[in-house]
Amino acid sequence: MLHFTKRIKFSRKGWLLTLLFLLAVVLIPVFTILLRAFEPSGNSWNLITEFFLSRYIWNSLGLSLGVGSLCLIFGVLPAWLVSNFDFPGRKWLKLGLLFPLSIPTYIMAYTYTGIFDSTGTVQHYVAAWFGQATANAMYFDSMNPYFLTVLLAFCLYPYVYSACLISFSSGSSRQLEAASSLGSTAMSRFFRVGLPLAKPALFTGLFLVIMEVLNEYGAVQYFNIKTLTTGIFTAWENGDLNSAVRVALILLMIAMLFLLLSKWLKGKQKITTSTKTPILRRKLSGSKGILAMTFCFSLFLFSFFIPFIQLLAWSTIAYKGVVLDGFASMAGNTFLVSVVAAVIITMVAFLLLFAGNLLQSIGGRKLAALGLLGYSIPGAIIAVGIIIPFVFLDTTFGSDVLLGSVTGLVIAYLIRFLSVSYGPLKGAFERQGSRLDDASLSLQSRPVKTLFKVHLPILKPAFVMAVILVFVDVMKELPMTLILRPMNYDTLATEAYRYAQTNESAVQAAPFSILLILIGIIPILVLSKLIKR
Amino acid sequence: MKYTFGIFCMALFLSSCGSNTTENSEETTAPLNQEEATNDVGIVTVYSHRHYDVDKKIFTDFEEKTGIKVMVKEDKASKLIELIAQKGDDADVLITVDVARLEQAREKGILQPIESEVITGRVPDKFRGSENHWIGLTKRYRVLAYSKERVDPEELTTYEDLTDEKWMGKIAVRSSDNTYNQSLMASIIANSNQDEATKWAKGVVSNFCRSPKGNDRDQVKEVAAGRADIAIINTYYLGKLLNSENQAEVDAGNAVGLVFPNYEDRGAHVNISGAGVCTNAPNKENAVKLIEYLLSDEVQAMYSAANYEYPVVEGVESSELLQSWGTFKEDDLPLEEIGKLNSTAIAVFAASGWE
Repeated sequence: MLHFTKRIKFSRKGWLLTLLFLLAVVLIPVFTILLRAFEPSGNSWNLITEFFLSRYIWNSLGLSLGVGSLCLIFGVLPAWLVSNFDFPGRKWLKLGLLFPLSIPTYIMAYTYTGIFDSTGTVQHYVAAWFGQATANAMYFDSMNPYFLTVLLAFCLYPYVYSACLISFSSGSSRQLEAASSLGSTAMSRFFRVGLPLAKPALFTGLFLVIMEVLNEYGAVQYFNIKTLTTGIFTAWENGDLNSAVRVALILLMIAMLFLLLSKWLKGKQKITTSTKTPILRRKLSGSKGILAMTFCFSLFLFSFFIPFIQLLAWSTIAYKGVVLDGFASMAGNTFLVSVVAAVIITMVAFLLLFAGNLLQSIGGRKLAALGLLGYSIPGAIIAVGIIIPFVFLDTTFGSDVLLGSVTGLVIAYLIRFLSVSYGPLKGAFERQGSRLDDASLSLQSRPVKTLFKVHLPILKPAFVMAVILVFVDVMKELPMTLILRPMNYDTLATEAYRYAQTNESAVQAAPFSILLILIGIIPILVLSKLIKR
Repeated sequence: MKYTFGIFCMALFLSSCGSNTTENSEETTAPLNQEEATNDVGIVTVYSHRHYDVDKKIFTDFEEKTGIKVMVKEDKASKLIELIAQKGDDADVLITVDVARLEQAREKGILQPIESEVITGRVPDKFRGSENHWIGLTKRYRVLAYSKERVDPEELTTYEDLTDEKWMGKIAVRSSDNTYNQSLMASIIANSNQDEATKWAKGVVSNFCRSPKGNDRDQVKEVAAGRADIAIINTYYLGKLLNSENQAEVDAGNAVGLVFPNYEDRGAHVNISGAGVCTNAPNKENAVKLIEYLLSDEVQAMYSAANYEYPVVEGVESSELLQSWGTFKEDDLPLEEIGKLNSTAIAVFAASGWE
């Protein structure tokens, strides 16, 4: 018995060190940059506080809440439908609804405004078929905050959808069967069983959405909606990084508020389910089936298919005007870095989660949560925080291993995207509960063994989803990639951005965007096989 | 395990795009050979905010002509300036658009005076920093695009005319966060004073057809579609519209004419894209060589032809399209002053309610 406790104590120390090391990697850059908020600022700060700050905050809040609410509808409902019912096209839509993940938000914005603007596709065909007068009458200014809200929701709802999908399709079957045998209706099963069970996952998904919205720059700037993030860049571009960091600090505080809010909404309930019984999907026949299919298909149509087809059409006219040299090497760079980063980041997130859980008695979970700070500040700002320690380490060791290397880039992605893989894993971990730890530990196995023998297999779906989410996020990432990349190193994302930027439209960026989107779909198609029952 | 997974995915990817693999390996070996071949003349490291295709072509040509390998990192100027300030031991040349950014870089202390007489000889005084910390590469004018159908250009000869009540609800322009607008504002301030400039901005704001958004091309489209009569734009965006693959965009471009304002007094507001040599440039000689090359007649003409910008070197002919826009008078204000007034310009915008 004595032997047993000693072993646990020792390994706990090891886990604590692991946890602290990971935290140091994430937190050093974050704090390095945040300290600049307390250095003297230039002129921008006065202007911001006098004219803009309250507007920045309200716009950021409004956009987050708007996109968040839409993502709830776009995410939860289809996840519930495809998990619990059979209807035409279900199998196919289940995967297809994840595809919009691979479309960068600014490309989505440029594409849709390109479709609706006065020289765009809609105006062109309406004018050709029904005359110019009809076209003029039908014109609407798509560059408005409400439309932007919808566009951002198109890009981001998969975070909620994927989280709910895992939750609905694993674990909740027994409760659902019980409820239905007690005669409850589909509606009440959804609200009284499905939704409460999915709550932890749902809120982690929603939290990711809100972080993305808060940090959104390209699309918001194009629509000229002044948010905290556009404020950060305005101040920085005017040469006042310290003021920019102050705004970033406010953004971080708002992110923390949302984190607390989601914790509070999640509630204290502990639901532990770990059944592997498959759900019996009910067949939806007739109009109900068609309704379910129409809803899911429309969402797929607008969030993915239409922008994809438009980009494809643009590619056919744009490919002559763009330089396609190195297309293959760009695709290779994109894919390889994303795969490596996704796998490493998901593993590290898992370690963080596991260590935090194991060290619960000494506040491990709260410590682990600190590792997620990197997601709450715009990537460009974090990048500066990363440059400083990288330069220090490179000079100390007299090498160029970190700054301007792919290794450095992967570390930067880790700092930023830990949260993205941590989310789904945590959701699954929470539903599974800690009783497995107790059982396994009392059988004298060491924590590492517990990890591999007990957790990993049960967490597999969440693990796969985490890899997919991080893969596409890394693949699309721009602000850190641009500044920290090696010399003469292009990825599809940077090249798409370059063309979108110089022409301020998605037309020339289209060939690169299309390939980027297709590469983003690969892990969705390949990895989803792993969670198929 | 992670490696197995990575290799598996990579294999999957490579097999899925079969023919591309060979291209891929050529791609990776080519730079190595070049480096061996050019060891003696070395490299030049460029941090650039100019992301145009023509810039890539120009760098490749420079490599072929001199054997000097060009290492490029492209990003926004604000980030590049910060990176150079933090690290700064590898950057040779900073290239960016808008004079305010160049002045920012100088203020940060990351640029050194350029001592080449070739360079200072080719670039007119007003397009250089007073101590030659930066020099212009290309010129771009911020002008008025008017509806050929609805506007008589005789009624619209100056920037100041934009505040006239007759243009109420007729002016389309982008956000005041945009640096080109900020420099235009700086030139208005420099030519009058802060109060006058604020009055001007308020006057223009009251004539907006909509709250500012989108880019310069979008503003031209507003005019072409009849929702505005005047758009404030940089010249090369019209060039881009006129050369678009989309016929509707070409039509939109053809629907507007250009006024290079204030041709009877101070002249049109001109801005530059420009370059500077970094303070700690490890390859200073190559940096100077590159900038000299960028100012050669050949490259100046390339900028003009491919990107519809005006050559900064006098005597180099601009492209046919640019010549078709006619000759005009340009503001003689030294650009350095415009760069220095950037933060005043931002304050004026904020006070005037220009979104």
